[in-house]
Amino acid sequence: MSEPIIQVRSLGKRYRLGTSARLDRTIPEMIEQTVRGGVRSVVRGLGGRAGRGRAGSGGRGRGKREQRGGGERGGRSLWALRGVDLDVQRGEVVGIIGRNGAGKSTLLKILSQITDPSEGRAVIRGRVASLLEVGTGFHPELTGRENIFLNGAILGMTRREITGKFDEIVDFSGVERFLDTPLKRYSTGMAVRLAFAVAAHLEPEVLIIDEVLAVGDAAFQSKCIGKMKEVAGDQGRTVLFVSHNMDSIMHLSDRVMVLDGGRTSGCMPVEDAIHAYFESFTERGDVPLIELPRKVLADRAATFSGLTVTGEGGQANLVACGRGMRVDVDMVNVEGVTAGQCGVIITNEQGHRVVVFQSRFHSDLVLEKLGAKTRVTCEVPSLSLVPGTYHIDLNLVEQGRMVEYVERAGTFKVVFADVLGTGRLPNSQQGHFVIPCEWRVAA
Amino acid sequence: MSSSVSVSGVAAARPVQRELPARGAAGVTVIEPRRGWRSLGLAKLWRHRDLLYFLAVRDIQVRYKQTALGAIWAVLQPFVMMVVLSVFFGRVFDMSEKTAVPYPIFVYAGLLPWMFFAAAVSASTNSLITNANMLRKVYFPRLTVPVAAVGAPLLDYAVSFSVLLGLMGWYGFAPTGQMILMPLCVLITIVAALGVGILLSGLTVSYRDFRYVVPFMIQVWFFVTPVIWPVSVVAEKYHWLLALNPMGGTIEAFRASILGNAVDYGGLAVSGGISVAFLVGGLVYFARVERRFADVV
Repeated sequence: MSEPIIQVRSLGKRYRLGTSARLDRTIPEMIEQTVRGGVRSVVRGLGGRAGRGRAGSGGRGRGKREQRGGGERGGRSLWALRGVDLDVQRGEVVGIIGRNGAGKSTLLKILSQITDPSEGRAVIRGRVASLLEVGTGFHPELTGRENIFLNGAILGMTRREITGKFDEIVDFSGVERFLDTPLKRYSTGMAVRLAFAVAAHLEPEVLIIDEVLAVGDAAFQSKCIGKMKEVAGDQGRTVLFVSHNMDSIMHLSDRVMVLDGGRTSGCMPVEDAIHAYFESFTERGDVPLIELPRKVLADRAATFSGLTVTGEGGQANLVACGRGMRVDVDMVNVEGVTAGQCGVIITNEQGHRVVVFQSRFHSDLVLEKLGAKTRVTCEVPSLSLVPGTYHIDLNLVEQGRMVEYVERAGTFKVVFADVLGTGRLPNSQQGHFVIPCEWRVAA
Repeated sequence: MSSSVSVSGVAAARPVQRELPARGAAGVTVIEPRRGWRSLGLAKLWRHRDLLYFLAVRDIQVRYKQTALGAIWAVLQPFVMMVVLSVFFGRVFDMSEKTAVPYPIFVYAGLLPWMFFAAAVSASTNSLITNANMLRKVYFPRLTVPVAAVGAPLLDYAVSFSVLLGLMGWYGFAPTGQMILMPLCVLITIVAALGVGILLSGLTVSYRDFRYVVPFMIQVWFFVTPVIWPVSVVAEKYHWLLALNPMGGTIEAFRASILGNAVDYGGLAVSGGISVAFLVGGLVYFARVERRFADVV
């Protein structure tokens, strides 16, 4: 067998928490370090290029980082990814799954060369194209035609390649009537279709895709999945993709890598991986909520620190069907929150979102001017879910932008109660909700 | 799908090197922690010249969209500025007595390169912040962004040059043989703008302070550069100081080359050298910090 097209060895990425790493160095410090670095490299340069080898520079750099991260300035750091090994053969499709904050996007960003790893090494033997977002660089003022060229160039195509595939791209997108209309007049769906059409016509040997299929309607999604399959199967390209959608993972991947807390035990067969992914939720035991991995997109530390679910009867994590439920969410570090909205998202055991309770939608409650520690409470008068086990995801939206997301922050059970007065209830195979209704035979 | 297959055959025949770093075997990307001083990445910039072109074209296309006057703005801005300056400095402060040529054409010939320089530097400085989303989501040589930002001001420069030709006709200045110096002056101006712009764009990513510093800095720079005043108002022994300003000797020489005055070759050489130094320094700094843009921007 030929050499793997992608080889990853003990790859790691460390981020500093809190304010940007650079800003706690003062200007004089920066000048001093820059000058020193310059002198060192000149000396190294005079000493021949050997000194620039991997061991030399890598080792020294790592020492410096450890020191900087090591608390002398009080900065905390977080390994978003550590010790990741991965071999991908030519033509393989590898799916990557994991909870939010597991390091999936970080891994893709490193492999796309957007950000540098802090340690380790990856080798890719072929032309890489990555699609971490649909329509990167799209400009609202430009027409569809102009955006195809711009976006194509950003993704790494040459002008000649784009010209050569222009008709195909337009065809795939189905927006030919609006080619000379500024993008700002496009519907979101049209813009997404155009963007994916450009991306689908990249011809790399390795295609790296982040959860981009999550946008667009179902018909277009299946068209994209078809296109991805074609890319992988017929044209022998290698695909590395992240998805939360277990259906597309099952349909597309040959093997799957599960990331959990920035670590992985390597690739495994699809079924095993999906099993391991669901396991990764259950095995957390009594880890306090504040320590759960999460996606934080704001410049502040994690806010969700506690979650209690109480049924009408007062039991924790136990709710009777059709009866009341109370969810208490404890938050810390929320003094700076402006125009905040808190969401409690209920998912069932299959990972499908069943219902959401959102502070603004449901109560017009906007979180603002909060104390450092705040508890928000959501009272559901009647939780009409079929009996079963449910999970709660928490999210915090600020000024219309999602800033924090904790997957499976808590778990509770809905148990039988005779809400319909018949002594019977539908089960989770039959539907999600228990909604009373009247049946009769027409006379 | 037959067409797609045949196109892919063509693509496969091309050397597949576009995304690759300078080191390592051909066709292999090596990703590992990078530290210290790197190559300037000019080869990568050249490979991505199409992106450079499209980014510049985007700026140009977007620039005057939904404006009533469109590209006329490129001419109007320096022209109005010239009129205002001619009234204030030419008449009110009697600067026109110190210039060898009529003040309006004197000041316009200085404003042209200056306005390009100022626009290019401020566009470059902010370019990485404006395109932050791209930096976070796609890999491409980061240098394309501040370099492409110079494109639109360069086009304005060319367009507003036509007014200068009109003014020359109006005041009866025939082009002289010295005109051949003009492209060199333009080139030095571009080099200076790129150098300063690239340097400031890299700095702005880490230190947003520069977003506030730069407009102010450009204003001060305008007054210490011989745009609205002739070099003759400064004592001879300080002329070398003026040339230390990359725009100082350049604007003087640009004006002289067009209006047929004596050219200060020494001053032009010093300004040119300093412009090149800025460009090299800017490229070196940029190469050093670009790897962390995606994390910081």
